[in-house]
Amino acid sequence: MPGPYHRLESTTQTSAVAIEQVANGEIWGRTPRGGMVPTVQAYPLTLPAARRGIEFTTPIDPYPNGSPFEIRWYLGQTPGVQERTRNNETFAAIPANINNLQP
Amino acid sequence: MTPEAIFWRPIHWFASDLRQDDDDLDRFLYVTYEIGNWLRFDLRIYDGHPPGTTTLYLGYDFGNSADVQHAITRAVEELHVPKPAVAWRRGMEFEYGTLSRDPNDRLREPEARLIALKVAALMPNRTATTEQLIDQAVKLFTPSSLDLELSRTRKRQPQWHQIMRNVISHRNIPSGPFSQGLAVRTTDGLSVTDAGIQYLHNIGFITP
Repeated sequence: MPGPYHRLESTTQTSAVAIEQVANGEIWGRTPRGGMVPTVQAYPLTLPAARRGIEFTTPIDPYPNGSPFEIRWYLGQTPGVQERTRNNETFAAIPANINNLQP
Repeated sequence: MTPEAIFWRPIHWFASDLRQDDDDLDRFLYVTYEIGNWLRFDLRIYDGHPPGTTTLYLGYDFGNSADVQHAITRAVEELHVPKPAVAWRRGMEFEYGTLSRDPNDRLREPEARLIALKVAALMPNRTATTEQLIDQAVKLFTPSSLDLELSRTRKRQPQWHQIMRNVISHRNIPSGPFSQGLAVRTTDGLSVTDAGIQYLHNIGFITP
């Protein structure tokens, strides 16, 4: 399933992050609370009306343990997910075609 | 942690003391439970989840599919989640972005008794009138279309109001809060006893 997927604007999905995501063509994710590995997380389908955030598609199929309202890509577990490092922190990354709806 | 079940009840139905955090998905409210020494799970609602739902999360490496099913079943039992309120659990087919509510999901008296205890426990002096129970109950559950059908006995009132009133009027039910010593009847409502507070603590609704 290539998407679309979306993320809502939040403390971790900021306008600055959205600009960087569009520029790099990637979505990154760190290890979530209670998680074991860096993970890219998103909501399924398009951004709800009147909400700010990003919409994206990706050629990387998500890991098949999602729920009706969550999609995940795990570093080391989901084929095609790449590793990135910044400030000594490891991230999961997926290539994406991103529409910035939080300018 | 991995989402493994979704309940059609707001997170405030499960716990009065919630924490807030955020991750790369979004901001979320959560409460963590431990049952015995083998089952630890989170209940969460993310900002992007449908209002009125709560998702159960287990550790990514919790176990095999049978272990996950056992954990979900145990959590549902311990938290007294009504069966029709289990909107999705791992293994059920689903369509991304949609979640249907069980058409039979409506407020029944056992759940109304539990909601009444929860509401009153958070009120001053742990006491609530019948009208306060009705007024506050909607913070703990979202009336379904069946709940909103008009009462046959009280015109212009939805059925679920009568279900809540029955908590007070059906005082002699053996499994009810009064017979169980969890609450005492007041002039126009109920007051939660120490035993009732302990019960709510045991099911994780109240932290000590």
